[in-house]
Amino acid sequence: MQCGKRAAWWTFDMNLTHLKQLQPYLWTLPCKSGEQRAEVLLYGSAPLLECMDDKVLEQITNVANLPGLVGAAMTMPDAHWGYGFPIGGVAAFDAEQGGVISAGGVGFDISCGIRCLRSNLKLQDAVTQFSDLADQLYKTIPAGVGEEGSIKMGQKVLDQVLNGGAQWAVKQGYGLAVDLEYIEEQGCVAGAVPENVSELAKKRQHGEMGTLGSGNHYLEVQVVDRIFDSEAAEAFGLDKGQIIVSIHCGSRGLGHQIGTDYLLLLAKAASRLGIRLPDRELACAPINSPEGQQYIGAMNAAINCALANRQILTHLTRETFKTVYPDIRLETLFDVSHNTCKTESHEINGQSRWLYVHRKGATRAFGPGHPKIPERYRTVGQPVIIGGSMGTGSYILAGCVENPAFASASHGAGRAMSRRQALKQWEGRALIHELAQQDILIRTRSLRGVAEEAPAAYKDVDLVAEATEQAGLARRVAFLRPKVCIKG
Amino acid sequence: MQPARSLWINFSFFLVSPSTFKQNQHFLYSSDYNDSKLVYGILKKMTSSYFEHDADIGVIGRGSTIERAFEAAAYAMFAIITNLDSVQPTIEISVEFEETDIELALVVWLNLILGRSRELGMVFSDFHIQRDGDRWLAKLSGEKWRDELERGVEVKGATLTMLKVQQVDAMWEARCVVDV
Repeated sequence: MQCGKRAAWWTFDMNLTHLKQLQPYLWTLPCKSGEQRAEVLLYGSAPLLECMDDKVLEQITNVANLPGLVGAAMTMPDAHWGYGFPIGGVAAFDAEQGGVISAGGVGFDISCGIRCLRSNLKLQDAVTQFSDLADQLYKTIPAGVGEEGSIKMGQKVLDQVLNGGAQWAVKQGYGLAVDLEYIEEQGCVAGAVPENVSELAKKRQHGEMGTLGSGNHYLEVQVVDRIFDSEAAEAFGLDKGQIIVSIHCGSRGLGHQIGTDYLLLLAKAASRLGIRLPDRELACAPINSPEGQQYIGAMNAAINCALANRQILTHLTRETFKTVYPDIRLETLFDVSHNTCKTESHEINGQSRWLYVHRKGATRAFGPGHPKIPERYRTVGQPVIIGGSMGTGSYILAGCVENPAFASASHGAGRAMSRRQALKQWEGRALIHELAQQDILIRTRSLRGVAEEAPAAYKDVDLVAEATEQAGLARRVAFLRPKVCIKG
Repeated sequence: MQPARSLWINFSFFLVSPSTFKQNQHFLYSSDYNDSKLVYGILKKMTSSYFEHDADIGVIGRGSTIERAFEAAAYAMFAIITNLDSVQPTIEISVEFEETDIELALVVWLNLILGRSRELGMVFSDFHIQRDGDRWLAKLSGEKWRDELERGVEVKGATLTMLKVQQVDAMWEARCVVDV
């Protein structure tokens, strides 16, 4: 029932007749007569695009109208309708050309991302204890709406987190110093300004450090099912049958409140500064404006919050695994963020330029040789993680040198059906039973959440990964099959 | 959709109109609490609904005034988080804000009560808001999370997407997409 396999009345339906196919996995939306905007590029195959909503086109076209955009406004193969930017949207802006920063281009869950851990455990040695492991993880990893963690933070300590990110967490004993080498920006992004974060945002985070959250967030125990690229797999320390853990979560209440606060502030700033927005939800301000700079400081603080959160969860996961597998070793393979705007140097027409690259529901994917890649992976490219649904699987890919999308790639399967339709189609308890029949154990506090996140409510992750590779965004390294899922 | 809305208008005005309900707010906390909560729940469920969005959820609140529509939208949003029939309105808090733009006021309202619920570890089930020029004053009732409350889906924030506050026939309608 997934997109790309069979179209159905409840799936979305983009009209491709408006598009022009440039390459087998690259499409553009030609300008109408008299229309003046930047180029719109959509990466993906025809079946993937067909199951996107037309709103994706509308939203990315709106992005192409924003001032200071460099190159094209782009969508990744897993794109779907979001707010402001589409999810899976990528756009780069030049501050010196009047470029803007957009809260709607980052999203509420700032720096939502995936921490991937590789283990020294093989499936055959672990499988008999999966049920016990699932129960223990369910007890120790706070997940779902209303759940708080055991770490309570006052504002003074929280400010240290917002400045220090995962580096702060490691100093407090959550995890290992070596973890930091395998996190983007070594676990701490520069330019965080905790003073730009509202009091309410800080209060919301009081009990939410070290929590998974809800919706599409999860902690998944997976097995390496297939290797596509043995050289990269060896560099990433991946082997067939190996147990992997993926933790998908973000900046929790703090990030959500920053998104909330600045969505309105930037919407008003755009109006005050005379920026003509095709839609108010694009809420943006010039990067060099006071409002723009204020948001960037707050957003960077939220990125550090998310990095610290995933570091704490990594620590809790290791502690829990040890109770079931005393000899376990869980090493950080990589930590990628999805919802960010980062300042990066990119070559445009043979010249290096500093750009503000918005990736909303998209992953950074530096190619081999990039100085920001950990030395261990530098010859093969940055690890890219495409998280799948709890019933299908996930992919680990590697960045490509010739990535045409400001070093960006897909971040997940991408929804193919609305949550409300999914609720009508599936019942949580039955779904959990169905997945158990496939040897996938689910632990959750929210049966509604499981139904909304039904595997078939997502696009076919195999098609997304294939399209990501064929479009030259990243190449497949390994396929991971889910075994245990703690669902938020 | 049209028949359902007609049914709501007729039924709600016949049973308990929003204005009648406002006059009888004290009834909520009287010995007949369970009956009044039931009526409140029925009323709010009938005035709250949803619309489709790919990744997130669109909430709709309807009412005879903007304020009642805002209350119904708040009810729709919190009904995503838990089953509001089970929530006991034992704790009441007040919130207020200023906003001149009516559509932005809906987003501010939803985000403010969402933020307060997360800050206090509570879930709200009763919403009463009044407008005094650009000032919006509200009272919310609910309780702290407890194990018996159903865990739905966390709402991260209300967005400007599909944001609309408008009069439709004799009713006010307030709608936007909430990020989950």
